[in-house]
Amino acid sequence: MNNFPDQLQQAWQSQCSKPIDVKPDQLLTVTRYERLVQFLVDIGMISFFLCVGILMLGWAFRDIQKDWPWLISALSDVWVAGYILFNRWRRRRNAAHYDETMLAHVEWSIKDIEHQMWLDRYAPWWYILPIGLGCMIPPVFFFAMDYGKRPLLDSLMPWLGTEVVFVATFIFVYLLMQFGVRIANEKRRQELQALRALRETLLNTQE
Amino acid sequence: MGIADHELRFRQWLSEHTGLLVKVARSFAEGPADQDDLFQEILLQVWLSLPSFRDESKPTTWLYRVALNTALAWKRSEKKRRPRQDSLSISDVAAPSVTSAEAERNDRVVDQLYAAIRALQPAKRALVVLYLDGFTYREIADVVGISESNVGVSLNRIKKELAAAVQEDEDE
Repeated sequence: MNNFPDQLQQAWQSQCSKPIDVKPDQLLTVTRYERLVQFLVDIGMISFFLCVGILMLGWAFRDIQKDWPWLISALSDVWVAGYILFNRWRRRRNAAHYDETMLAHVEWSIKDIEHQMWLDRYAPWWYILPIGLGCMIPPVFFFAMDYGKRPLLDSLMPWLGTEVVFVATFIFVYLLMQFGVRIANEKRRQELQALRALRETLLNTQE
Repeated sequence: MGIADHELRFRQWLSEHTGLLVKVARSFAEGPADQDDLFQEILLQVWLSLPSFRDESKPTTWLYRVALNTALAWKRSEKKRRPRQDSLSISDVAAPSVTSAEAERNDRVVDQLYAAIRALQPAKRALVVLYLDGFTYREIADVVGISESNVGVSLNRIKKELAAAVQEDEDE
């Protein structure tokens, strides 16, 4: 410590500042806006899936003997809405604390980014697959129930047409999501690299 | 902590320790616009984190933790330059300079120091800012989360690096 010129430390400590008038309300404007947008997006998505789920439920109970396959759709919509809610809750519960030690904060940031990358990697299985199954399984049952009652082509064509449209839509959404994930993950990988380097610097100071 | 206590403590700490937040902003961001942005981001995080303050550490230690963690997160974030409070910038915080030869020399040394600090790795920046502000190894270890001996070893190396950088700057 003695090698370090005292004058540098003195100069540093001689910096003065005067009190400022900070208005927390103004400071929070952008944060509140961002939180509101995030809240509205979440509420919008959850409401959408819940509404579709309720609609499917109503559809199924019109004639439960015949229309019960719509219950699968209702279930998949509820699953997706629940999964969104669960993730938001989990993220909120594990949110970063800025008053932790720097090392703890870095460790948390690494875990958070790794978790985000994991979520994105498996998003198709959590979102697209349940919705896809919810949309594609009921027509299979309807086709099976209809089988033999009408000429084969009359019941096969609408079923096949529906399935092809669904498959094409889900493949398109899947590819779109993968594209978005690739771009997001590239940035996250860089962040992760920087954070790991930071952790290494903090932990390997004795080298 | 009630809203009134929250605001009271926030204002009280700002009146006593604004300089600390400015030092972190100037050490981690380059250029007045980025420094103002980081400064406001730190103020925001201090406000948001204040309810979790438990009187287990000194206000300066706690403020440094929040400020340094914010600076590190800000460095990685793309959400920079978001106007928050109008007319709140680091230049408003700087105390009127005393026009003496020594004060001018001090200002020059401080500017050189900031430039040299910004050239260091982020973890080293944090350590050196705390050291320059007169924190003990124990206090630095409390903020950073590493052992006192690690703080000592790191600082010895960083101080040499920093002194050389400032000296080089002066020679030029």
